[in-house]
Amino acid sequence: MFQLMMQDVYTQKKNAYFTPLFLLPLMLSNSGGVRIFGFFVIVGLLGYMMASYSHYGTEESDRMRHRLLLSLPVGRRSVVAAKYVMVGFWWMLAFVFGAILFSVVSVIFGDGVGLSFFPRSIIPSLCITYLFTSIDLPVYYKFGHKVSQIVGMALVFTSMIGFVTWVAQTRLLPVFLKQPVLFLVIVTLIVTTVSYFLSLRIFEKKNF
Amino acid sequence: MENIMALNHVTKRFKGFALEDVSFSLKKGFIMGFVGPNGAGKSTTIRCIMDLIHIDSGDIELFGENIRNRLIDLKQRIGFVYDQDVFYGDLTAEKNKRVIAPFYKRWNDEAFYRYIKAFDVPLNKKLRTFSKGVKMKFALAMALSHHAELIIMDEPTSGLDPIFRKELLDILMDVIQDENKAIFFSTHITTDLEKVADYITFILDGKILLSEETNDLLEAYTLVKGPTTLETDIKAARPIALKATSLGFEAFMEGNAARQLTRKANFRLERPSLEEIMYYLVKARKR
Repeated sequence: MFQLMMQDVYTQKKNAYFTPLFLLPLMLSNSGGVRIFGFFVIVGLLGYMMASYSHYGTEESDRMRHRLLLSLPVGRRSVVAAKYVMVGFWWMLAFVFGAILFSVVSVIFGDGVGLSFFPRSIIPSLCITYLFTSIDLPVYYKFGHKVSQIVGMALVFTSMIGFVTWVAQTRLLPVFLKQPVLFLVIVTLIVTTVSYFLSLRIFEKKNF
Repeated sequence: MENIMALNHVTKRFKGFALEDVSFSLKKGFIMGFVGPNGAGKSTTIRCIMDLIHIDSGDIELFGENIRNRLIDLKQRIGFVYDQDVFYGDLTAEKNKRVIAPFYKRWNDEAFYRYIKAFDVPLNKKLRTFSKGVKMKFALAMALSHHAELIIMDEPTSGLDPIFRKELLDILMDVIQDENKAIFFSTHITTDLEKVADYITFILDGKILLSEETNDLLEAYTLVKGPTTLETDIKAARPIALKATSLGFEAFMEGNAARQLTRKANFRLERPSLEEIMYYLVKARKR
């Protein structure tokens, strides 16, 4: 498993490491409140983008990469599991880069926006990264990166909007309002578990 | 002698192509050449052995064990060389090694650098800048650096210059000195096989046509040549294939049948090359 994770680090696209720069416009916002709220949402999205970059490639390069991996002494289950574990790693990188950027901008602006919200942003941003990637990964395993890039993105946003609408229309809304983080964690756990087994099922049946 | 690899009635169906009832085995200490025309199923068979393709029925055994049971452990003992660019093109050879080596419990860095030096592979250049031959050399260095007992190679000699092809064959002969090892390789270049392969397995249209010792195979068939005046006699002997030439005819026959012919008339017998055996067997099948 560790070797597979290292393989993801080695083969990550270089531009993935620049994605945290997308945070800059938010950082340069004058409103401290917007910056604080936007931080965990954008870090969550950046984590998703970095995870997505790690399997960026053409259909052919995907096939060759999997042909190589599966010729090594490694099982299909480990390949999929490593991908899901690495989502946490990419989120961590996005979070650390984001936090550093935020801190630097706060010092430059000197606007008194404290850094105490960082710990509170950890779980929501991690959940956002996992939720988005969990929708994306089964699409990637089934149809490849090209499709997951287009369909996956659309799917991510429609499912998010659909989910929020569904929550708002059901009795779950009070639960969400009362314990938003707990609610997010439970939903993320369910979606990620279902996604993992779906990806595994797709990947185990695939021929390379 | 113990089988290092055995395929028993392996079947895999795709849209428009199928591997049907593929059975053959390779013993420790031997080199098997896997031949057949383009699209015959050589690469597909290799992908089945490596479990990159799930077979519909049949069994594949490696080191005496069904690959369904302990595939991950079994792959520790396999070195592979593919015809395609499976390694990471955007990484240097050194970084590719750093990614791949930790997967193997018995990786030998010393052996790897020895091969890299012997093959003249630049370590600090990205793989995608390599020629096909250098890529193949790199893949071969990877396959030989973790004490693999079974080396599986898909068209390893294609794209290689004649000098390195010869060197490769020498390396394979060197590897096979260890009688616990075996080499299975597919190729179009049958002249290479005649030099090194102990066994030949011939696949055509997804079916195994023959799997025999190379010497037996070369003895089993004979080329019969003669003037056009003897064409009636040769036709009566029902050759596997018959071809008109500028000097008369060339018939491809089973060895025994050909030897009987010589008692009746003045035919000229020649031992066919592997390429000729392949050519005539394919021709006869397509007829």
